[in-house]
Amino acid sequence: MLNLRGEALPLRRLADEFRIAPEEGAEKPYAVVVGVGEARVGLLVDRLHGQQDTVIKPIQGPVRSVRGIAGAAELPDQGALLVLDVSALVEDALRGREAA
Amino acid sequence: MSGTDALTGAEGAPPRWDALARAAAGERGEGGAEAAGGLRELLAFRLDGEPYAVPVERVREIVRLRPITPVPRVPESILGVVSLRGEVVQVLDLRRRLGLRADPPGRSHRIVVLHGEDGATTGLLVDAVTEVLRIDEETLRPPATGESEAVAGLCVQGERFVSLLQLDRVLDLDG
Repeated sequence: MLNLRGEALPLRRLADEFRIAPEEGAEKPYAVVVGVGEARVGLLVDRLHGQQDTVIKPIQGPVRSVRGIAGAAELPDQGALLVLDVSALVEDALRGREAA
Repeated sequence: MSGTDALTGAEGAPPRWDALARAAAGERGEGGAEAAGGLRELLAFRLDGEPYAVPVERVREIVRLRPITPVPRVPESILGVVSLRGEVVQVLDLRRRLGLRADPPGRSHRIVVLHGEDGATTGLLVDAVTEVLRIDEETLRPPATGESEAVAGLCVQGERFVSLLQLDRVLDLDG
């Protein structure tokens, strides 16, 4: 939980949500504040790369959907970039908080 | 291997299956005979030193390895997704899927891209693509006892048995 301008902001480490090993030698994480309606959650990430307009494409394959992933964007020379489903992540974060 | 380059064609272009099949037929002295009933064309590839195959009509293209973006919350046999001419497609590690030991990808590795209905286009990671086989359906044998459920049958190629994969079972990751 973080005090953001007087409001309590629940925090979620994205790496924990997705069971990804933490980056070695990571510096202080950034909290990306996302929201749906009135709800706000801070997603902790290792690094910020920047901001970009992009097209979200559906992910094709045998796995039909992944909770928390809305699709993917294509970056030139870098392959696919996963785009998060903010509504699902916020919902899961707040539901987890109520269950705790 | 020149066969592999012919199959890949120009980067991204669909392979010329008909030309390959005719070439294969020509080498065996069958001339320009049309495919009789029961003849099937299979794309053969290698996994852990053994030959496997899938029906040619299921294959959209074959591409070289490219950056794979891992995806969370998917079965372990899904390596991630690749960018493929404007589409984002999951890549299945066929070795892992079939219970074979893992292998670091090398220069011969390829991604065999399968057609899919309704957003189901999928890439299969294989050790190497070897050839197009033209076989008589009558020569297909049932899988050996104890063989993985993913094998539909065996086709005899000289002294080797090529395992023909049952793609619907391979791609059913819940099973």
